[in-house]
Amino acid sequence: MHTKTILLVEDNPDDRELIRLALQQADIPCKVETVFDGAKLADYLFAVGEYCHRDARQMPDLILLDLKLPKLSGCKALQMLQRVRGRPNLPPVIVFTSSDDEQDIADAYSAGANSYIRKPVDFNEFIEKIRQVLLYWLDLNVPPPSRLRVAPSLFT
Amino acid sequence: MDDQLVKVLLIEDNPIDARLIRVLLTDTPGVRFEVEGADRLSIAIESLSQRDKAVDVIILDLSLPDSQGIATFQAIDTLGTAIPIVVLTGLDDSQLSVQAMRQGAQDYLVKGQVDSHLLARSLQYSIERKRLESALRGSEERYRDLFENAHDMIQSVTPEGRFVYVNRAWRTTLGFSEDEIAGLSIFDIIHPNCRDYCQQMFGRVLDGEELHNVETVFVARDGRCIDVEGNANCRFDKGKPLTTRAIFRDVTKRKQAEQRIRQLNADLERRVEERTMQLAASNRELEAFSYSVCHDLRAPLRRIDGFSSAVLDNYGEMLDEQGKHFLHRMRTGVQHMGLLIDAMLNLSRMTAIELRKESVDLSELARAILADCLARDSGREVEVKIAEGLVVEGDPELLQSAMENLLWNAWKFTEHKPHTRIEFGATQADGETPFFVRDNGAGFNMTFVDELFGPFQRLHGQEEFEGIGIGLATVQRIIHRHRGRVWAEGAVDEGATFYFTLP
Repeated sequence: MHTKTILLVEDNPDDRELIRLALQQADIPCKVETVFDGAKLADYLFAVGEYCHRDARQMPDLILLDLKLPKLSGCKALQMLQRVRGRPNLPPVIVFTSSDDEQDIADAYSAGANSYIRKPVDFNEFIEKIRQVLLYWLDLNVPPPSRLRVAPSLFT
Repeated sequence: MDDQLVKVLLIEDNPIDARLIRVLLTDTPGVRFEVEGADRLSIAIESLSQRDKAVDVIILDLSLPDSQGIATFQAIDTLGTAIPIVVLTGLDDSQLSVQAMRQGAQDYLVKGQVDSHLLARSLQYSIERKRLESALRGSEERYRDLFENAHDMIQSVTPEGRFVYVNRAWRTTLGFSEDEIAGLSIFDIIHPNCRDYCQQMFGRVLDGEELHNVETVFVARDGRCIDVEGNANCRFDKGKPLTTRAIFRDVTKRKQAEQRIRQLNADLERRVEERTMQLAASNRELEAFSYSVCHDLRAPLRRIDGFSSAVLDNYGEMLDEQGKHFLHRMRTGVQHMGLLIDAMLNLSRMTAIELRKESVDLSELARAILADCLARDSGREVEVKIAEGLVVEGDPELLQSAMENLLWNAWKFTEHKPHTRIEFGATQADGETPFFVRDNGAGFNMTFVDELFGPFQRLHGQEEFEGIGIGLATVQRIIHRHRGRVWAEGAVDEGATFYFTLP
């Protein structure tokens, strides 16, 4: 099994560090790429702008997305990705946020999120949630085959 | 039986005529005439002005040395003595006699054509007629007085709409003089906006209907509008309408007061609406505030906990036990604060979410919640009693939360008892059927009953019972949102009962 890549979309440096710590503690071996806001998420995925040297065919295995982001919020970024025609299949998107507002939850799912996890205050719980969700999406879940392109219109 | 005594003042200058009349008046069966004579008007007037001299009837010759013709009658009549006057005239003075009769003389006698019987009868009739006349006038005056002095406006109108009579209140309220009224039609004094309606009403009155509490608007001479209310009906003669009569009351002041009340109500409603909008706006602000509390306060807390944990995990060996203990204490504090924030958010959500109305089986909810408690804590000896079929209309999610909080409390505060009893049911009180959750647990001191429902209020220490003090505040908000009431009864160590109504 190759080392999985997680794309972390998180503007707060403390939270980025805590998530890295949690991944270590949860003992999930993976590579973490980081972008700081919603606009950069699209740049990264489509290998444009500062990510133009990246191999666009190399999709991360999972996106861990904060909702409250500068410039383009998590939800807006997701909606934008959904509207891009001919885009590659997106990896599973896990919204990982402080909010438990029902509107946020509904918006996240309708924008195409696959899971919605609320960041707990208790760090032990935090580690446990990270461990469980990554275990599911990276290990248990079988992703759609990458060679077959499903027409984007069926998704939206 | 004594004869009736009639005192006569005979005003006659001709001694022969006077003598004749005295003679004629002596021979009258059943009545005795006592005649006093006066041969001058001045003497007669003097005699009449003497109050103690009662006179029943006056016989008056119109031709006297000091007065002639009708002026003689008028001179006596204007004394206003109310004594009947019988006029004596000559043969050729019939016109004068008629004139005197018109002005109030009771009868006239033509000299030389009078006999004893006729004279006596004339005098007696005159007395009687005058008595009846003044009785009638008294009665007429009493009614006129009532009619004229009534505060209500009274009017009588012909089927053509002309005024037959109106009373003083009518004239003063509307400001028309008697002459002007004679030229008016009833519809001239009705406000143009009411004319069609009144025409219709007038028609109904002429058809024989009695109208009660008819409201309309009169217009006074000076243009003032006067709101009136009254009754109207019609007098008929052989099925033909003669005159309508109506009594109206000026209700302008009442109408103005009503208008004022309507205005005040409208103002009040507008103000309530404004306040409601302000309140809704501040509620929205509060929601936004809650949201930012959620996101902004929780994030730094999480970081404190995260990094404390990281210190413990990665640098644990470098700390002595005391140092580690302090870090653990820090984390406990942070986590507790996290719980408080979540509870606060949950509480505000209970207020913010839209209320649904569905049928909710509280008995079933109670059963499920307690079954869940038992499953998690099966070591306890618990006696549960749940009344069947308590179904209400309400929000299923909110009522679930209320029932959970009440029953979890009951479960929690009985945990130190060897034998737990928890009951859910309904009772009867003051026409309501409050539901209740009763336990035999730690109970509380009724002195603190008002504190129970405040958020973050706790009556027990954390070592005794765990909790953050938000459960009952949540219950109260939910019940209040359903427009119900919630209250509690209890005693220390004897258990507690929580009541709530759901109207």
